[in-house]
Amino acid sequence: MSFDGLTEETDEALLARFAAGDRLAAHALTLRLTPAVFALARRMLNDAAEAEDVAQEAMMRLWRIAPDWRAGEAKLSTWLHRVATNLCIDRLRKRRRNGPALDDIAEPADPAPGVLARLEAGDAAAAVSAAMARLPERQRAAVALRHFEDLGNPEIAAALDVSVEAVESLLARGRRALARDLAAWSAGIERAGAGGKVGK
Amino acid sequence: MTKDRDLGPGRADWEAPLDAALAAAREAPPGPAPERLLERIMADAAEVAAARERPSPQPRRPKRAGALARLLAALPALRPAAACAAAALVGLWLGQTTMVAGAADALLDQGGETVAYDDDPLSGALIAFGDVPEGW
Repeated sequence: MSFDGLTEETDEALLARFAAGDRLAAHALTLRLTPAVFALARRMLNDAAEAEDVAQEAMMRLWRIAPDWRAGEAKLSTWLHRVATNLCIDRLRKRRRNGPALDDIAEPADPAPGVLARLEAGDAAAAVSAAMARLPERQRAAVALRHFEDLGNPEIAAALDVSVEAVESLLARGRRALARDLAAWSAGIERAGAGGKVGK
Repeated sequence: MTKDRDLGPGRADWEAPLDAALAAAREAPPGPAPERLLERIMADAAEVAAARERPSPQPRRPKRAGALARLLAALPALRPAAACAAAALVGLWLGQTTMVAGAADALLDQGGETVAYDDDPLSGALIAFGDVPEGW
């Protein structure tokens, strides 16, 4: 299938073409937008199957809204991030209702100075993923959009439907919580390593 | 969950390593979108497009009762007035029925006496009815 000519068009133009009945435009939009939506959902939910469902639902809403899309009012990618983020937050809240309350999760100890700095790069990805899963929904969304989707604060504010100041606060608290969690995780690894050496 | 406490004065102690950890996590993407997901999304798009191309059914004329119900739903303040009006209509209907039945009973009981309908041109017929001999 050839998308010659379509790859140069903006998302909004492609959506207008889809609304006018051009199905190739839908294919081009799918290939262009789905990876980012899926990645965001995967980061936020830490579950591939649920991330697929969220990506499919978000794109379905895009197809349905296509004829009513008003060019110039919003950036399509921002709108899609907003839809995906809200779908993720809904699922996280549902999970929280069905699972242990956040207060029941043990709080990580404050990190010893420099522990975080000794975090191995190879371990960092897994540790960040685990620490992200411990963040409250909106902090998690803000951190994911900022650090993994490269959105600026105004775009994150639009996606989360909050003020830019609120985004700054969410990011600051989220980053602080992540740092504390990662440092505790790293310290635990070090203690386990030291214990193993003593045992030998 | 973690509380919002500062990690101490040496922010650089944790800011830089955190950014490094986030960058490392970013370098390890969660994986591409599966092919089956892309196919499902394209199928959804085709379905939505096909549904849009199908001629929409003729809109049904709204029924009057439906229009009234929508009006009442839109204006809740009208609901008590509508209830009062309905009660008044029922009351009128019951009152009228009782009055007519009572008048008919009274006429039959009085056997032709001209009591209530002196000025009524039909009163003569009622008197005649009352005067019919038993043998007839």
